Amino acid sequence: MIELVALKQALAAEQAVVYGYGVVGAHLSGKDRKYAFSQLVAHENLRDRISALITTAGAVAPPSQAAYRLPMPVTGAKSARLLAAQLESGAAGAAWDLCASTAAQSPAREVAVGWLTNAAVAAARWGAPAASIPGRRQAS
Amino acid sequence: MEVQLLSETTDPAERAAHLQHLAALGGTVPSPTATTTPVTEPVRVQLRGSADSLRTAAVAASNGMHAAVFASIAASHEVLLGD
Repeated sequence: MIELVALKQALAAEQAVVYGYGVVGAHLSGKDRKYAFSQLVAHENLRDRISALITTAGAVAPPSQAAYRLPMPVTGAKSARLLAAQLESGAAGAAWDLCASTAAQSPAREVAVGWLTNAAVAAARWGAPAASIPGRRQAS
Repeated sequence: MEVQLLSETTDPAERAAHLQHLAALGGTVPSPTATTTPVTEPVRVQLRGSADSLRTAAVAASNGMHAAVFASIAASHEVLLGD
């Protein structure tokens, strides 16, 4: 049950990231746009894998929302890269949560572990502040 | 592995990361050494191998929080390796 809840939260996070990358890619060009596209595809694949895990568990995967509120206005390449960094940092946090909520050797755990690496590397690529322990929430 | 990586890394940011990894893994931070060596290809190989081992440990960990820490440090090593 805990794992299913975590999977649904992970799916919601990835659906938002996919939406965000659509905005990011529209404001970039050259190498950045190419990288944004590769990450969009990676996140779409991840979203579909998580959705399949939910379905396999006998539950219904919630659909994406029509639109998502962005954390900032995106008006050009600089703000697009900043949004991408935030998207990936958020994805790393979601991956951490999924990792912590899944059983050893489960398909969901494997997805979470790979997801965390992908998100951390991409966040760094977009210029996110360095994190020694990527994905871990800051103590409040 | 983290202690060895720490001893072979001169970059302040990388050293800080390895120190945090040691703390997260419950390790003991070694005393500063008089000499350090530059980051070399063998260090990159070690980082890669460490990341692979940590990911395997993350998948196998029975404790979810331990799994997250292992996966996160593996991710950090991949960041240090760059694209």
